[in-house]
Amino acid sequence: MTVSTSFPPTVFVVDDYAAVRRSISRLLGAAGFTAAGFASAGEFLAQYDAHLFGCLVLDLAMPALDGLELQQILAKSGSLLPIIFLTGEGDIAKCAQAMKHGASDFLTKPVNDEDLLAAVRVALKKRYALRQEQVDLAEIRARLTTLTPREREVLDCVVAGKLNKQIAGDLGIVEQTIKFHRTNVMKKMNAHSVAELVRLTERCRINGSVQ
Amino acid sequence: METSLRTGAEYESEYRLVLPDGQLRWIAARGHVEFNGDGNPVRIRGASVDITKRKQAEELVARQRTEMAHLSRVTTLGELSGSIAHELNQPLSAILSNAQAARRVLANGADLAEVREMLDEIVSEDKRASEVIQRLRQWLKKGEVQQHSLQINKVVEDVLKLIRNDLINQKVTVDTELAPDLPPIIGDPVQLQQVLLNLVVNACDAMAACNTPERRLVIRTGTENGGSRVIMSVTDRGSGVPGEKMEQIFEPFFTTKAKGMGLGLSVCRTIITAHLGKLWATNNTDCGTTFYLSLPIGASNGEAVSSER
Repeated sequence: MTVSTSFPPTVFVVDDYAAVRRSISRLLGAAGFTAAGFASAGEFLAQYDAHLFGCLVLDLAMPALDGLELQQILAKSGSLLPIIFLTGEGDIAKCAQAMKHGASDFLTKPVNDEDLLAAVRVALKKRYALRQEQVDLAEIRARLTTLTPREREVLDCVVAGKLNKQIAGDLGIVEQTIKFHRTNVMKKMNAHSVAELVRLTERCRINGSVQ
Repeated sequence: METSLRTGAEYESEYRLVLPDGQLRWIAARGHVEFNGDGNPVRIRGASVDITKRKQAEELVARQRTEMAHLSRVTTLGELSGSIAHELNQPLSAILSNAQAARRVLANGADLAEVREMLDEIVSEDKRASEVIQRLRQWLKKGEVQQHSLQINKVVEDVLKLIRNDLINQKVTVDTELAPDLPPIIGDPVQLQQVLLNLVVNACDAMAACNTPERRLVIRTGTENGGSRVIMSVTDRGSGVPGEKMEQIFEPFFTTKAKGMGLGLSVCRTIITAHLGKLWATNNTDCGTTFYLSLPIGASNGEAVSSER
């Protein structure tokens, strides 16, 4: 089965028990979602790529790779797919492990339609938020690249809370020039206040430096 | 007796008498018929002994054996309850989701073909759930020991269904090498399932410390002795059984497990002996142990199988 990598979002149903996989997919279909079923974690991974857009409804107990192991593999690969676990038994230890590793929800079988659909809506909302976040970040990074090296130095000083006079001292240029660079930085970064400029750059901060 | 009249051979028989007061007595009679010169029978010389006490003792032993086997089944089932709940949960799960999906499809303006598909699956999943319950009933039944003509391969399939989820949870892979067209054996299907289940559970326990890819067990079936016996084996890749304990493991109350009662294998051996079969184990050359079970084909007529001989 080929799966879409963008819109509409797909709900990937991974369960080794065929009737459960089919019925859950039908239910999702009847509720207006696009669903795709996979009989094993391996089968899903064979189709997986990091751009898959949607969420995962994942059976916990499966032969070979189980649900928790698939969750680990996906996390390591940087997957952004929220995971809803389905399990036959309310195993608290496994539930805790799944949630600790970022599961979106943990439901027990047989699952009521409203509960499953609500969980899917929440998971997709999370996925949309992640996508928005990515789009925003890309946008901010694009604005950052338009800055000249000097403007970039001024930006770093401004967000560090330094006054124009201090910056002028640090960079060895006159305060008037700093003001000029600063105005350009605000314009290029589309920031209307220093607070907003700080917020924008903070979002791009990875390991302490703005990237 | 008739044969003896015709051929002059010795007769030997055990029979029941109902006394006038309704009491039941068992009599063992043995002797021969004497003939005159013309070849006509003239008298019977022999002895009849009242063996009621012996018969009662035998029946008691057979009954205790049946009860022991039942008790052991109930215990095993308790240990497998999670797995069985899961086996029921899966079809129930599919039934619920199909029914709820169908309701939505109907509300959206019906696509009858799709609804029919869902209803078909509801029916087949319901049957599947019933089969699980049926198996449980049989398993828990405390009745007479049955004597059916049965296929050993079917026993293997039934046991693997019963324990499927447990195997998944323990990450044990089962390979089966089942010989096709095996001759049938005569026995109690539930008791034989019980024996195999015990061997499989033991094999899984033996491999609990192995790395996941090493947790493989192999179940083989075939014939031996020129086709007069059916043989089944369960091979694990655990740490094996120390040589000096190879016979001890079949004794009652011998166990290596923290929570075991030590009855599993002794009950298994009792069951197999009653089926006129043999149950033994050997360590594999590389690692782990293989348990073998051999049963005569066709007519097994052990005591536990039938208490009346």
